[in-house]
Amino acid sequence: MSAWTKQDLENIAKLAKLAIPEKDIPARLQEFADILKYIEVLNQANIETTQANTQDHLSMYNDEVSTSLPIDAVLQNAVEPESPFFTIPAFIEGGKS
Amino acid sequence: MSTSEILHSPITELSRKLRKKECTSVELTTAFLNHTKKSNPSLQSFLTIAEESALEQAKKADELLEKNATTHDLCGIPIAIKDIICTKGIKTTAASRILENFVPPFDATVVSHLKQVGSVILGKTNCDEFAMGSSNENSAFANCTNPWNTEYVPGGSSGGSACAVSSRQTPGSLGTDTGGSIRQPASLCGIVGIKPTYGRVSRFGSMAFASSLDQIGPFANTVLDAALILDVISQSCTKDSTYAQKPFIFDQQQICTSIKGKKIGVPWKFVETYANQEVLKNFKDQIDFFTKQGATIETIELPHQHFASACYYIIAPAEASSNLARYDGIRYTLQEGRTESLDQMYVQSRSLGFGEEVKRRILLGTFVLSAGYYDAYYNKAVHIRELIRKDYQDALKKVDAIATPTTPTPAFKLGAKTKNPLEMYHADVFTVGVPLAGNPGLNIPTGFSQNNLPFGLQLVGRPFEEDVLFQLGYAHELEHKWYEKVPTV
Repeated sequence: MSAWTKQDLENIAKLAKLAIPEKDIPARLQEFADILKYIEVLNQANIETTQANTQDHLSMYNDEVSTSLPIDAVLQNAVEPESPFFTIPAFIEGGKS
Repeated sequence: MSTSEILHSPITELSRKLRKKECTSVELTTAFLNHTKKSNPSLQSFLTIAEESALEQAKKADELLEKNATTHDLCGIPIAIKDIICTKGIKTTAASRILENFVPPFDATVVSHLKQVGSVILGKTNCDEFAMGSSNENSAFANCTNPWNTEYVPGGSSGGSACAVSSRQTPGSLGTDTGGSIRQPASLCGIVGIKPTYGRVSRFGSMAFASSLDQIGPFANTVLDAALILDVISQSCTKDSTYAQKPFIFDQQQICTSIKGKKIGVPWKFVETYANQEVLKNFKDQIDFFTKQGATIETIELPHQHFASACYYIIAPAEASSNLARYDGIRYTLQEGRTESLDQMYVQSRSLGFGEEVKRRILLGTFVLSAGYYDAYYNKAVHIRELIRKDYQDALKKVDAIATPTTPTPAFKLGAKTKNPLEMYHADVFTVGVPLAGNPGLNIPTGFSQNNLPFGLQLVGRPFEEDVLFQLGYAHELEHKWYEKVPTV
């Protein structure tokens, strides 16, 4: 592919829900150019007759009822637990209440 | 037993002493805890030392042993756990700021199995953030160091688990291996480490990095110790559909059988292309040893291995970008709530919580899965993965195991590769193809470089034939006894 642009990088960052500070963009673009160039070695492989794997073993288990974790245990790591829920800041129509 | 005897004994020996009542689990646990507390400031191998719960577990193990109940060989034996594997009530951070205060409400299956047989959980070991790295320098909290020389890296991502065993802070530990994260640090720290066959060990409770590659495995100072731990952690689980329901059964007699007649394949072209001169010379000495023991050495080809690293750095980030989407700042992670919108809250929480390498891989993974690039990158990589898998299948029809060096060089200095991610990725060149194929891979120590840094040998076997690897490793260990050489820390 052609070299990544700042716009490409920002688009991928948006999809990944990550922010890239403006000052880091040139270094990130160079890193990605290097990595993508490295990955291009795969273009030398002949995969015309190769099938992607669909044979990996997956175990099927009986659908049995078992005990779930107590709600308070599940909530113990929440920033603001309010059993049986956790709360987050309210955002209304894009603005914070 | 004296403290020194405790710290320098393999698990098999400690287990015998416990049964003969020549020591107690509380004594063992106290000795390892004291040594860890003293040495951890320079090694940074532990992120959490679980002193209180460890001593409680040790007391319970002593009660079981006192009753002369039928106990497993690991009853009363301290084990350390990589901080990416969930431990109920003990902080589990994946060495990431985003999980800095996370305390799991449940145990990973492997931890449950260890507790069930009476093992003592000493604490949580340092690692690269979310197991992404080859030097342990991507930990958000501290750089773990190599116990043979603290200016050097211990390897990664399970660097803390390897360092802790090598420096005798613990007689055994658990790590995870996605592209070499057990075998590479085991090699750089001079100990035994095995990545089991994909599906051999349940991944339930191990924070997912790349789900089609991740496997939990043991570190120990001897082959028998590693096999004993694998026996326990590979037992049943109904919470991971990729668990193959084929537990490894420890059979000392089989492991100690002569290796005469075993066939070992060596991909000489691959090895000579990537190993440095010092590593290559050491590797050839090991091959000579196996020949003298009556094994047959055959030259083999692994024609697609030079694609493995590039293939891995598409598949693993792709899976990581999906797996790490769960860390959103909403339910149980670091939360940056001072934002204008919900979307910004996700972005800010993730951007503050994740380190540079994790962000790099999430971005790369998001890119290779994105519309317009999926076929050119991800789809191509999963097809090439099959060629790599077939390389191993074909070779292992002719031989019992494949030998390569585990790493192309001995340990490198802290900071030597942090500015160049690609150079860091090359540290996995011999290990990265094995998880792509799903086969088991064992590292055994094979001596020291001129700088007194360990070398390692990687043995790769057929799926679910870890016993053959242990057999070969044991024959080597019996002759060389590298576990008797201990770093001064």
